Amino acid sequence: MALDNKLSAEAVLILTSLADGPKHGYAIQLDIARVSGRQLGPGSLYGAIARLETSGYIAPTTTEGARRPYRLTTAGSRALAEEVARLTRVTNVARRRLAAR
Amino acid sequence: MRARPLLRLYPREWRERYGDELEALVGPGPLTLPVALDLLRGAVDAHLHPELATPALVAAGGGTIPLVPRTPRMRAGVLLLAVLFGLLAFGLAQPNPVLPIILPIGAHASSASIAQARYPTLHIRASIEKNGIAAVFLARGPQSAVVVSTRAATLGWMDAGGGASIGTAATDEHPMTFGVTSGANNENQWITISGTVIAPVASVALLYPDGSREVLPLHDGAFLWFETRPSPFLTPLQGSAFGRLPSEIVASDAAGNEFARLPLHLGN
Repeated sequence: MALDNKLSAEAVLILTSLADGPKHGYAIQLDIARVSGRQLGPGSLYGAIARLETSGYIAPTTTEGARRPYRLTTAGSRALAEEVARLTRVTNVARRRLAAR
Repeated sequence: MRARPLLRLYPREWRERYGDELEALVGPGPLTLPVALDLLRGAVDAHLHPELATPALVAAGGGTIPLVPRTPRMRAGVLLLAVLFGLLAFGLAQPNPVLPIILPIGAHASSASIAQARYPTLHIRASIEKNGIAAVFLARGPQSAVVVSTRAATLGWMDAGGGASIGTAATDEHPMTFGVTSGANNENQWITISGTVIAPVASVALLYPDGSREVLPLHDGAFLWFETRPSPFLTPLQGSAFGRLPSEIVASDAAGNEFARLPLHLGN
């Protein structure tokens, strides 16, 4: 399966939320709002969840009524770590350049 | 507006996989406009990427998935379609005392009529500009080519203006257009927004021969049809479809008695 290696901002937020443990859609939405201040709409949230599930980065766990929690997979954990490393490099460069102004 | 009608816009496979979860997330109450637009955008995205509804199949090697839309044009297209659907849905939900006939047209004419037109090809060109959005639909039908363009300026929500126009082209080099609706102000902006519904519907009528009627069912047995008699405003070019422009949209009750007639004014 060919995958685009670049994660969307929504995907990074969801993976970050699930790094703390399995969550269903509403819990993910609340956690993202708390951590990032961003309110992900339901359509955007589930569009990103579908992509992440298809890519094998997250997986559903046992359904709780109409709600289905998702967990981070090993591949998802690795992808998140790579993305965090990439963002850290960018952040460090930005910080240095801003300090030099 | 509530969530369930919007969730029906998602593909069936997608609803079977994620519908219950999404419905549980948004709840049974009325939606805010941003949430409604977000759901519409999600529905468009789901239709553009049907493979997302079958993650197990894809995970087994059944397809490829981009994690983000690949090009700016693709992202703009998705956004444009979402905005257009959102404007249409919101506009159709508003009372329109000036042209009430417009509302049932949009509510009943979309998918079935387009399907009946049997378009062999359908191309969509869309752009988002600094002060508005625009889309051009080009359909090459069995008898003629049809160009439908819609435009909505977004100078400010309450000052939204724009219009919809539709045209036929015997050849791509000689397009000819006539306006269906144009202009809007604070009082009747929904006419303009509804025009984006009329233009595609009227394009369907263009593909029918002289005198034919495209009947669209309304409520209580009433129906609406296009009269596609030769236009008195245009001189048909030899071998072209210009003589079949619909000149009026007519609404009739169940007994066939006309109760509304909407002329389609020609000219840019």
